Amino acid sequence: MKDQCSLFLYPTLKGERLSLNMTRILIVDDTKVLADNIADTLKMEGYSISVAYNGIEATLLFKRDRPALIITDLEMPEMNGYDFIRFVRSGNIEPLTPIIIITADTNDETASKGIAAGADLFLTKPFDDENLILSIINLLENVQHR
Amino acid sequence: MNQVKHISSKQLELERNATILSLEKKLEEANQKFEILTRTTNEAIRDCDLQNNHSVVWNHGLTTLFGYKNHSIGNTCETWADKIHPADKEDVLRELNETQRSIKINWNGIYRFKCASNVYKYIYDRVYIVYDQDKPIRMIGTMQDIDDRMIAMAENERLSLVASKTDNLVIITDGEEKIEWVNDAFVKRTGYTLQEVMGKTTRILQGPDTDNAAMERISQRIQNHESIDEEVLNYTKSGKPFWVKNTINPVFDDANKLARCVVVQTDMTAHKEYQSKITTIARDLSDLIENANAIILGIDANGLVNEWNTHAIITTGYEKSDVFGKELASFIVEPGKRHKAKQKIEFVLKDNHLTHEEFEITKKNGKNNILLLSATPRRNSVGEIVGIIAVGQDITELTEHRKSLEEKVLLRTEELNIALAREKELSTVKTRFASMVSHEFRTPLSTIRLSVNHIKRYKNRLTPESIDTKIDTVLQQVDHMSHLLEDVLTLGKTHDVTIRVDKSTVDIVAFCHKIKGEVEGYFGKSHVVKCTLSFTEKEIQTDEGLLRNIFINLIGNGVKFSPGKPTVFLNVTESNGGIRFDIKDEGIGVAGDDLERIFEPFDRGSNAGAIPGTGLGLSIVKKAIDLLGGTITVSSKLHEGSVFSVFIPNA
Repeated sequence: MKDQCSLFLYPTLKGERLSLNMTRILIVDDTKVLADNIADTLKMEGYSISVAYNGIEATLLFKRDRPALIITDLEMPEMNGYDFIRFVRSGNIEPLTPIIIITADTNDETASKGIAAGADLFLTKPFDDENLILSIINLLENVQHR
Repeated sequence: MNQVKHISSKQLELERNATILSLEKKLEEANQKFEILTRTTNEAIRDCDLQNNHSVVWNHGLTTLFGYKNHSIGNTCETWADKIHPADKEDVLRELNETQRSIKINWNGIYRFKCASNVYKYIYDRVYIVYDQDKPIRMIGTMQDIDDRMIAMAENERLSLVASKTDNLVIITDGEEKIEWVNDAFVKRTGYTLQEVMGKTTRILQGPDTDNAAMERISQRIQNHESIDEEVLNYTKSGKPFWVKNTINPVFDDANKLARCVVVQTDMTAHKEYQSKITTIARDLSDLIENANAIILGIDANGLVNEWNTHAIITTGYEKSDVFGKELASFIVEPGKRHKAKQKIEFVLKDNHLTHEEFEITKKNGKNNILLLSATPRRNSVGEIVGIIAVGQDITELTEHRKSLEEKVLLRTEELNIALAREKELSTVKTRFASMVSHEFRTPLSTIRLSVNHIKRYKNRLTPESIDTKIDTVLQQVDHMSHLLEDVLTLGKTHDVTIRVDKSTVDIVAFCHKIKGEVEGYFGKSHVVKCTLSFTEKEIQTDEGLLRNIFINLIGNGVKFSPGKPTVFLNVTESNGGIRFDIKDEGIGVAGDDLERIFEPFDRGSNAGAIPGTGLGLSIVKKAIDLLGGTITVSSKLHEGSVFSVFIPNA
């Protein structure tokens, strides 16, 4: 499994970006420094950010902030990423919210498990942040056209 | 007599004209003679009148020879002809007619005649025919019983046919043992013709190797009127020897004198050759059994030993005289195992085979041996089972060798299994290491990439302070990875035992405060290290680098594994020539099952979950403490926390 998931087709960067003002993204990662850095970068891209450091926190922030997109790690204390994804998909609050997995685990099995749980995209660490930004745009565009 | 008178009446009438009286007298005499003749003879005489009604007159022979009583046969000539055997009748009557036509007065013939008992007898009939001017008027037949002679003749014919046609040599000698007759087989086998041997004795068949004693015996037995059965060596005309079995039947006359000998010789050459071949084979076989490089033993139907070869003697120490006629199981098998051995013998005697059966035997010297035996039933010439023949080998050494081999194999297998387990463990360690490295390096790398790209991408929009923060993040992550790398390398080094302990004076109070600061600084503001010392001044001789490594790891663990419990305690006390450090946390604890493996490299508690770590920390701590001559113990309770107690000696 490479940085990109083959299930997903990337759009080309063209024209001006969609107005994403106040579009909220929830970042979930137990490695605080990484979560914070992702948050910093996405803030610069114009998104509002919520950060959770484990699955339980994530469910609370998800319910409270209603993010337009979720970026989550898989291995976390309290509640792991798979369970969190399943929680999002099974609930009645925005169950179609795009979800991107970022993990240090490069197993193909892990990827398919993540996709099976309901993720839209699977990125392995260390991921290309340019890629992440484009993927977010794309996924959000797709949601708008649903 | 009246009839006779009547028959010759014609003559009498003819004579009467001349001198009736003298003739009557002569006739009277003739009739009397005839009557005496017919009465005294043993033959049957019939007198047929060929003129008047063919009447016939018989003498007493009809009764004595043929058993017809009171002339009950009837009184015509036809009644005689009716008694002739149907197969002979036509010929007899034809020949008689022929005789009469040619006016011959005599006819002789042999034919079968029916008796009163319905049995046919061979008779010899001499017929005399009386003519009156070429006309047959009377036929007198004298019938002689030749039945016995005919039967004897037929028998003779048969016998001589047998004698001449048999493959056996037949010699008939006279009273002086001179050859009278030999058969075709004799001529064929010896090469002598009948003419060549006629008048000679059977000695012409003898040659250089003929057994004289046997010949003497034959002579003796002939003298004693006994029949003889003796094998002798004969020679052909060309001098070729051949064995015969002589069967001699001497025949003696009424004066007890040797009349003739009938010698029948059966050619024994093929038989002798066969016998000699069989003897050779038997000898070879018995040599083979005796000298075979295997134990061969025989047992009769009663279970008694009757065969015991040299190898059996060598193997068991028992001589032939020790075992012959004794029950095998009774001396060679331990008492406890005799029953089983006897059962096996019974089994084979019931027409079964035994293949490669192991038997433990006791030798004459009391030592035990193991024999591998195969046995089959032994049969006599008519196929009855008369015993057992068994072939075996001593496999004692082989068995011992096999046992030691098995033990060796077992040992090697165990060694291999251990090596395999070690290999497997190593492989698991490697896999764990690879997964750890992969995981632990990917996360900081992600952060570094993000930070650097952040600066690169947004540098025009960033404040100098925020750029500094990003740069600090990068440096921190690089440090983190460097530590990780060092941990791995330290572990590698300790495995090589090349690590050097560099001791110097260490101020424990200052050291403790330094560590506290380092840990708190490293983990941000989430936790506090509460340091309690029982002294205000203490210096010991130890390696400060290793000491730092130990406590950074232990206190760092305390922080890492206590999410939400912000205090880690460090208690330092003086103890028995050294310092005792107790590091206590209120974190997740270690499960009882995990405690014993806690110092193994790459081992992480089952509840460590997503808490980052290499699994190397405690194994490094253990190594370092060992190098400093210290000890470490751990007590822990799940969900309540752990206490690590370290003793470092002052040396």
